[in-house]
Amino acid sequence: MSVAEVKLEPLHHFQVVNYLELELFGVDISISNSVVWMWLSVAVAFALFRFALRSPALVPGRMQALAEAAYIFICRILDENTRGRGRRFLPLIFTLFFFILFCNLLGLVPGSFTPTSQLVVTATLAVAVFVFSILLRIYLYGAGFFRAFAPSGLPPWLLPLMIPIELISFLARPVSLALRLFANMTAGHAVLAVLAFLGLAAPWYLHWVPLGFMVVFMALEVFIAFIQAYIFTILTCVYLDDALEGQG
Amino acid sequence: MISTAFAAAEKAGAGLPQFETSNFPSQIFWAIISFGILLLLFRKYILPPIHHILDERVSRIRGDMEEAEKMKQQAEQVLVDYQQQLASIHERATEILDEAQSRAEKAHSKAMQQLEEDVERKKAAFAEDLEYAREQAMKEVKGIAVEISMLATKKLLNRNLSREEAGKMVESSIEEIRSLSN
Repeated sequence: MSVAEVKLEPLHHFQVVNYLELELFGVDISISNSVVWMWLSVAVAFALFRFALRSPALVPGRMQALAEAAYIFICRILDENTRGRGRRFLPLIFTLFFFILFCNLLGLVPGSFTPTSQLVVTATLAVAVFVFSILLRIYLYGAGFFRAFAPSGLPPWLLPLMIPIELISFLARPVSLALRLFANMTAGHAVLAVLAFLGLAAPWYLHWVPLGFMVVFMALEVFIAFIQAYIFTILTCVYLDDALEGQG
Repeated sequence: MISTAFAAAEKAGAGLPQFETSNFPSQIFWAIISFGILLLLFRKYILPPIHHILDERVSRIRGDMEEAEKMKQQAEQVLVDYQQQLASIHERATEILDEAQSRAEKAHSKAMQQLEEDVERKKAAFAEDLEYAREQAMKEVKGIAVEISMLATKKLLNRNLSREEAGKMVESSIEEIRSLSN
């Protein structure tokens, strides 16, 4: 492939392409590449766990041990961050972690699409978590929810300062949650794309330099895929804990 | 190279494709649906079996440990019993040994006593024999002395001493010697 033929568009693979135009009650629900890869992530995550648990035994095989380890891993995150009070949210947290993880990981397959590199997807998850924790707090403590913004034991004259700070830090939660995941995925894939284009655009005897970097960077990306899913999950647990605490 | 890339991106339109809002509704919709489906699937097919198997393993391990504890206690009981048995056997063995020893001592002392008696008896018999032999020898010596004194007297006095006289003479000389030696 000659240099002239290489399309230098490192952001090209973030482009959402509609495969099938669909509409439901006037709302656009078209099937795009992003949607398809969300489905694939769901399918792969479920299929892997299903395969791991095809014949659950008291003495586990390797795959079953892995599934159990995943379960215990999520349990531990949940227990550590909610001090054991959040066990009933295990399915939610479990799903959240593996949905994000598989979206991240499948996105690393060459030619695939990464739903978690779409701000709107991460924002949907983040806002959902945020709204869920607010509703939970209101459900558990009613109007006591608003007292969370005025920490107890504070001198009254500090309140005009503290309430805005608390409010902003509270409102910043979904923003930071959504942006962190989106930015990490986008940056990683952009770097991979740039490296790939550099590799292809370089003279043939220099191809190995950027492509070699790409191998290393791919490993880093796999690591980041885990880390970001982990961070998203941990922070969700922390917000849940706040909601369970009531007074925040 | 990178600047060309940026130029290309700029030419393509307005920065990141992620900020193009036209595809937001469908992605929001399908993100929620996908997440919901995965949640339902996990909840129905994945989490219960894992939970079940972990619980089962915990109860199994607990049961096994309790059983092991029970068996350990049993083993300790057996050990105590065994040690007691061993102690009693040891005691019995000591008893038997002691008895055997005392019996052997008794037998030994009895045998020794018998031997001593035997020796005593033999000694007595031997002494008797000795006495008899001595007497015999004395008699013989006395006879020879009488004979000699008879011959000697016959030679000295040129006369024949009767056997009675010679005997008296010998008797009197023996008496004399005995009184002298006393």
